[in-house]
Amino acid sequence: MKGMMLGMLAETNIHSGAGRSEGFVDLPVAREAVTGYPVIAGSSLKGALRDTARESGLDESICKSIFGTEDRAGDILVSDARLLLLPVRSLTGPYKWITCPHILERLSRDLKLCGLSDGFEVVSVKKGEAIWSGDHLFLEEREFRRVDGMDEKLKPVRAALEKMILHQKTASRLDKQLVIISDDDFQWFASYGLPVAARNRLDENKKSKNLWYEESLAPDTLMYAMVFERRDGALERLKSMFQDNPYLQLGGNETVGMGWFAVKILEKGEGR
Amino acid sequence: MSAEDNMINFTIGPVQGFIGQARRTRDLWSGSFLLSYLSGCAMAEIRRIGGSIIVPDVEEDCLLRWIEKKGDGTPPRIGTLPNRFRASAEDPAVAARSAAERVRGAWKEIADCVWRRYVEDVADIGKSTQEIWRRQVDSFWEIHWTIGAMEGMEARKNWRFYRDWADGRPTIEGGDHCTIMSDWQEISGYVRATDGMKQEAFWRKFCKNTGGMDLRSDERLCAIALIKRMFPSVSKDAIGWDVNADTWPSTLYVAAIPWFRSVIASNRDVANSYAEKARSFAKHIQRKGVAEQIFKKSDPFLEIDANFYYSTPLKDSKRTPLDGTTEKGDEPEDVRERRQELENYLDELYRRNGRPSPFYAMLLMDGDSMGRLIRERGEAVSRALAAFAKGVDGVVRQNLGVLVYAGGDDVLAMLPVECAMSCAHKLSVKFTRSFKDYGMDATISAGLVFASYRVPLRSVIREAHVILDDIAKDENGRGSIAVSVLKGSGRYCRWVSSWSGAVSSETNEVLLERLARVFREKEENASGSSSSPSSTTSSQATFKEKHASSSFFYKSRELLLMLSGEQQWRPGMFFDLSSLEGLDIGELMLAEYLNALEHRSEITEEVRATARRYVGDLLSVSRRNPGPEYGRDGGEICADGMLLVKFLSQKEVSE
Amino acid sequence: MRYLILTPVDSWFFRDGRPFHKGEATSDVGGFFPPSAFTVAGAIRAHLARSMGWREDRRERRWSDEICRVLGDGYDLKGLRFRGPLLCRESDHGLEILFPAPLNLYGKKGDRGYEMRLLRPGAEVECDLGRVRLPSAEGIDGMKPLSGYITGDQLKQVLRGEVPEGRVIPAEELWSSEYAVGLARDLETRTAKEAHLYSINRIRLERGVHLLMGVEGIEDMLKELDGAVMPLGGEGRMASVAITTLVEDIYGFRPELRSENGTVRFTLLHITPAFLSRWPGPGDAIPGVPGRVVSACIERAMRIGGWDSANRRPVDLKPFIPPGSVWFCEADDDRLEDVRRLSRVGEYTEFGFGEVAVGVW
Repeated sequence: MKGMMLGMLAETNIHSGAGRSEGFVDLPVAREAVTGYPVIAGSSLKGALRDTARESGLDESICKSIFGTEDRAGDILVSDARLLLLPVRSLTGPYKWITCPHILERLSRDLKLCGLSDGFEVVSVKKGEAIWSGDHLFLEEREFRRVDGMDEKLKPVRAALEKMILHQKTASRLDKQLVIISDDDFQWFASYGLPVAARNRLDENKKSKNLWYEESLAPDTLMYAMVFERRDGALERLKSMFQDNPYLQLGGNETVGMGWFAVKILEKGEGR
Repeated sequence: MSAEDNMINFTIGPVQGFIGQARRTRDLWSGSFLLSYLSGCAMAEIRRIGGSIIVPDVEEDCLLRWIEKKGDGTPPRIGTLPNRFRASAEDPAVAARSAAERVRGAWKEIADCVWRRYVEDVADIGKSTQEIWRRQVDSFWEIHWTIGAMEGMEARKNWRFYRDWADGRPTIEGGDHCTIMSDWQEISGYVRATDGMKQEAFWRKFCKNTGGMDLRSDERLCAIALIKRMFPSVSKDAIGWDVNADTWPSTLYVAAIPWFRSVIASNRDVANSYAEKARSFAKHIQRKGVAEQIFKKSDPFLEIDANFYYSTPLKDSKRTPLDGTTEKGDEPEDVRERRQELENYLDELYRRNGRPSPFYAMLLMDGDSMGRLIRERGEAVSRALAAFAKGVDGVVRQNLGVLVYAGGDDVLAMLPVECAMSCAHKLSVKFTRSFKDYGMDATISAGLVFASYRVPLRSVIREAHVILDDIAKDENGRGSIAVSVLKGSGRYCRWVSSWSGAVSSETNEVLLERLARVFREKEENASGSSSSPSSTTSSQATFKEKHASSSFFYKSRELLLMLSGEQQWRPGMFFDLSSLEGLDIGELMLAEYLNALEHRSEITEEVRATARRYVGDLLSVSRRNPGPEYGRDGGEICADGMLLVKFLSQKEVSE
Repeated sequence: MRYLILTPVDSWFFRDGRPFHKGEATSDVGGFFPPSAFTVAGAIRAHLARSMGWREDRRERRWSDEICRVLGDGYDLKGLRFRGPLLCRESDHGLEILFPAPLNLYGKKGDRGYEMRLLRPGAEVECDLGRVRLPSAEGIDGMKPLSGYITGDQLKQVLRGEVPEGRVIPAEELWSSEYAVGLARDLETRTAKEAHLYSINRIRLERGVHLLMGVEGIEDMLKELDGAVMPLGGEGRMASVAITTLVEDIYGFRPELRSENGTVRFTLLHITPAFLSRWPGPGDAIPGVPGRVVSACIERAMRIGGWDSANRRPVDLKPFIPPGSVWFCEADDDRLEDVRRLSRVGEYTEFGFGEVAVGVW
């Protein structure tokens, strides 16, 4: 089946809820069971694509054939939107975009599935170390040692990532901001490094009625998803949707201006 | 010939497959009672032909006496006989076979009563309804028995094979499946995808025959689930006495019991007129007899559908229909106005008495290593168990709970949140004492689930079994209590401890409940009395204080996590901090605690001393407190103790 | 036989038999894993059918005659044969197949790791099945059947009648289930419709864990599968496919079966679920198997059904003997060769059901 990839850069906070909370945060973001990485379920993403399609004026019968109905599968299959780059505060300069070998390995595999490239070589990195273009590095309050001599190996990774970001200017920041740390270190940031906001609902007497903690993905989080077609032409239709307006709204809290992604479409070749 | 050669070990199953697959509390009760009743029939048969029951001690059992038609006084409505027992008879194989026959006969009698009263008349518009019914009724039970030592019964359980399968194997279940017991076909016999109209017509007619209250519009049941659901209405014909269980308190009702007491004590008239109003808007909501069982008295307010005590379900027109609400939940203007009127009225009650908790507790308890004890001490165990069983209902009642089942060494009860842990503890003390009186050391373990009414009942029951068997008994050891909090959104925390670690050695109080009281009082002091109208300033104080304790708990977990080096936290996770030498976790947490108080002036010695005591108690419930067979030291620590305190201390918890 | 390595693109969703209708609140659906052979074989055949021009259309549910000639139709598989699905995981020495732990393997976690015992037929006990040698062993007090998976080497030990070395791999180390709430949003109000709330359990595999499905009879079509992405299970979840030939497999491994006084004793261990038209009791014969049953460790039936998309109706839920179940049998020793050759029992074996391993007791 032919596939394409959507690079999704968060332009606002994103809250794609798990519908399930464990522990302190009342409304955590959805996470993958095995890795603990934040994720947007394929079904939510598909729903958002369908909403966008409707709003872009796509004919209802075409919508139905692309996205399916109760008794008929749609012409497309939508993967989860998975995490690629996580923005993390740094004491030394602007925020950093962190990722890890496991995530890059997945990206490399997924690029191949979509027939986009033969992937790239995934670098390895030890706990407490960081591959990046600068020298000393603090992420939140944790310190990382720079691994020397990795510039050449970083290039193809950066090139692959650049293609997934809609705005050229944003993509150019990868040079200075991309950091690869070990899977273990990354997992910590992915689990605990997300913004948690205390939100409060007041009743008619301005008394606190409900206080809850809500977790979200920060702006500039980069995610990606894959879409495969069961029937020729479905991907073309989907692509045309984003031509004039390359944005997608996803997750809850639409009313408070959350959930906007800038979408970059990557497509080529014949996958199967 | 040894005495063992006369021994019968008898078991009826599947226990979880029959009891656990429940949607309403009435299903849960009904399943427990029926299983107990059938087991009693087997016992009665063995006694009838001259045998005797060795374990449990049934001499004074009320249920068995009624089965044997020797009952007097109030007929039993709680199952008291366990599904497994040990008996002796002169010709044990003959007696066992005869007992199994009697069980099948009694079951068939009950099934026939339900069939005749409710199904027969509908069957002709179903598709092979009678065939499905018979197939399911005939092949459901797994009755097995062995002669001789108890090990034989353990071995027998390895081979799930039964002689009464009509086709020599478990049944093939076609069509659509039961919405409660998913392995079984629903009895209309139609498939919704192709014969949806006929399926609907069948169940509509069925509902009409039962008066409409017994089945929800989206419930399509198999014979087994239907028998459980309808049994209370046919009990007089089926077993010879009325079990009076048409109205069994729902989970929401149990959750609200402490609130009822406060409402009736202070605002009885307002409450009763609310109930009258609700009843005039929705005639079907009367629940006669519920209050009588729990409060031993009745008020109109206490006898309506529990959805009418809670604003969220009351707002949901599909879930809580009034007269004039359509099946889909649509309402004409005037009905919507009436609903609004009820909501306003309820808000007024909330202003006077606060809100009822949306959480209730499901308590499951089971004696530890009973098999071994029975092998070693035999009849003494029976007598100790009988002594224990006698007082269970009383203890549950004292703690405002409702007993579902108490037989042998098992207890199943539903309780309001605030009394549940002490109730479990009191039962455990009673259990150990009963055995001590007969010169034995024995413990009982507990699985306690605090669940939101939004969590499906079967998930709650499953969780109770898992935490009792795996988390308490297996992982933590004998004499343990495991507690889970299930919100609508998932598992909030899971905590486990031995009884000795859970209870203050000086005052015999459950430590977590004591801590919860302390934190709740703090919250209340900050916000002032809940009945007084609140000004903006006090609401800010509430916010701050709530925020303070939340942030202390939150930060403590982060601290533990950071120290442990773990990457991810999951409910029930223990951290091993033993490798961190020279670390005083108590001092660290104390600093966090004082920090979270957001004090403006100097911290006095007195404040510091109190804080030290709280933090000390918190730490002690956070450590691993294993049962006697595990010698692990206290190096392990969990965050869930604190979470549970937070849960118990909050007046209003998100569902 | 070639093997397809199936890896979830992200997660998978496999339903149990519970009804799941849009417009009705449903909770806790799915989480059934590993999926049944019907599900996996169905996904592979659908993918191949698509490559032959079939369109999943309202009008065109049925396959063309040409497709049916190659892929069969419904329960008829023509020349196709499957094995599995089995779980496997990457290890230092390549792909390692995992097998369900036998139900007669009892154990407990002690201070020094696992202590394990294998049950075998014990002394006769009089019970509701008659006088039967029920499975037992010395020193199993406090032990439970160990559910989980074992490696090929451990399986060989079990088949030789030895307690396996090491430990049983619990399912939690191979996959996790992921709870998610789905909701149908009302287009007008953008709010969730209460009755349309449903919660489901998706399956997410640990890194390096895959499903393995053997396939035979479509050699010339394998290129359509290698590197492909195809839908598998519910919710439009996908699998990516790679093709491999197994280097090392216990398929066909037979321990030395001894005969004593003219009788050979053997065990049959179910590797995949099996459908038997009659379940044998003590002294009965297993259909297609020489000799008779002495004893057994058999779990409650697992009911396997599915959805018949051609006829838009649920497939009957049939009772299958769960993997891990063990028969202890006896046969006359002139049937030794027949016993040695056993590899499948029951029905639907061409889909992968009914795979058994032969051992001694």
